[in-house]
Amino acid sequence: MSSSPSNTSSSTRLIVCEGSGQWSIGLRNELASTGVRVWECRSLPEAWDALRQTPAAFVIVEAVRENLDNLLRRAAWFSRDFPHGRIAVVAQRNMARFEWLLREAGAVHFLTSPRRLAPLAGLAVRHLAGVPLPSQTMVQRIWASLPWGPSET
Amino acid sequence: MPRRRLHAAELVKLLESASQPLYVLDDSLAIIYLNEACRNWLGPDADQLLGRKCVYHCGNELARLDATAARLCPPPAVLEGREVSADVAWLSDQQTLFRRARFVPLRRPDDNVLCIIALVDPQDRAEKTPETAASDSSESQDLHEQLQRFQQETALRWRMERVVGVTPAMRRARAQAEVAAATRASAVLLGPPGSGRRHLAEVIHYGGPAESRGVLVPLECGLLDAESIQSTLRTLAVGPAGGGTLLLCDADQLSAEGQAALAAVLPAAGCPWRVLSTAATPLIDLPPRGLFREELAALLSTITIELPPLAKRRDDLPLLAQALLEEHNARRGKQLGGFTTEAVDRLCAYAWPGNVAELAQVVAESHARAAGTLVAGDELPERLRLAAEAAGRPRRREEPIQLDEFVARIERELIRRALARAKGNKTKAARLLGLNRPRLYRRMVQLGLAEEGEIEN
Repeated sequence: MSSSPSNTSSSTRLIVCEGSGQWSIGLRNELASTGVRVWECRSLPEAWDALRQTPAAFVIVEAVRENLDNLLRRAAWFSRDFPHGRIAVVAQRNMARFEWLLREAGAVHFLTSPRRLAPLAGLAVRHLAGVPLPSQTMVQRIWASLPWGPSET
Repeated sequence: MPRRRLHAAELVKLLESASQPLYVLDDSLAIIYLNEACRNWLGPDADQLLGRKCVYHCGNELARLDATAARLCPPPAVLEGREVSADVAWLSDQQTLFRRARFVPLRRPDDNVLCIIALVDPQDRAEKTPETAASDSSESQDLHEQLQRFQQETALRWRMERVVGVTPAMRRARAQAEVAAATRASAVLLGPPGSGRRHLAEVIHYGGPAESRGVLVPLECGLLDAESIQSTLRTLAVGPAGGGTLLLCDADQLSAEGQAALAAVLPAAGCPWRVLSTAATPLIDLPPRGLFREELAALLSTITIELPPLAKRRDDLPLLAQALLEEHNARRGKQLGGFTTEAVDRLCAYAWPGNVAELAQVVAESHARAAGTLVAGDELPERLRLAAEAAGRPRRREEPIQLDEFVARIERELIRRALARAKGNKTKAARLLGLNRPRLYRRMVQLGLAEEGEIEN
């Protein structure tokens, strides 16, 4: 099930920006057992709006000729604008020659085969696992209510 | 065979005698042939262009020959097998001149591009061909030009002057970075996250000798598993990159398998990759704790550059904040002159646990919020003001607690939540708490919950 940026909770942090939906379908299959939800959008401005809500997100963008220039510019400033987020790029095989340019610009991974999504999904899961959740659990709140602050362990 | 060789020789003879400049690129865009007219056009350096790739770069100030080759790069559509016309540029006495070129791809039996023949117009022009006059797909021409513009714009970001700082630690780091840039030696950039390690690594790479620079390939060691690292290294070995700098981000988080994959590739003679790493802990401190391969730690740590946390370089803060503000002026169009004295004082009073990355976020937020020509104190994020106020208060005294009462409070909270979750049903609530119903009831009475009317059913 895809969710749109407007109705997605702040805990959703895997953003997939693509034209057709084929990468999201594959990623949902790969991520089925992990509990990570895919937040799907269709344009770079939409993806960046979503990022502003969850700046530590993992963003996967499909590079096509039409968005390449815009994507490169956004990727080049990504680590400055979203230092806790990460960006990866997927593309059709005819875009493979731009792999090095996109990696230089800041992409942590580049993929042209929808059948080899497992490493990319793993990368996203590991990144999201390292991002602290914005809200505390009840137990954390109880420990935090100690007058000398939360537990140090 | 001799007959075949004769034909090849005749073909070359014909091409050499042509008055129209012509060059040939292989499928990796390396120049493999220039005819005499082309050599005359490009001047005395023409022969040195043979073997050089015509590719887009992110780098700044390419070496003269790389820059010449980059200007001869065909538009991307050519590698898809389409014939395209585009302008190629060359420098004559510091003036850029243009010539129209027709790029003709030749295909292999499997339909992939074998090579590209570029036929260049013999006449120089001072201006580029207007878009309306372009005979081929203006879309591919646009992309070609956009990529070239991107290359020029990005170039400005990675100059050594952009490493801002006047404190002794930053002066030392900059001097070491200059040494690292001048060599192909491996270097570790040590510092806390957000301290600008990656930016400095990029400055070192792009500030290096352009002839041997190649591409910069960052690897996120904390995220990539061994398989991904191996697959990236395999791609690097056969890919069109042809060497460059491998940037190991957070190298101290590299898994044992990832270390093994790197250790198998990097020490090989002729390995075209120089390695820069970023880390929070010195790599050479890790092998005694069994966390890193000793030979790999030594291999990666030829030069060690330390970047201090921002809190330890407060004298750099105003300069850094101003540099970041100017970055936003250039990107956003909105022009601000700087910070008010109050804003600078507030910036200097903050602890900066997120280092330069956090300062960049604060500057971005303030730039967007500022109404005047200077960023005022109250236009900085609220947390800076709260931190300043908190720092001014006396430290809170350690208060004792009554353990029994505190534990009882926690139990009450847990029972209330279990009851709420079970919609008041005590049997279900007891199950949620791992108790039986009578025991839950007794505990509620003991904790005074029974008197609060919370056990109606």
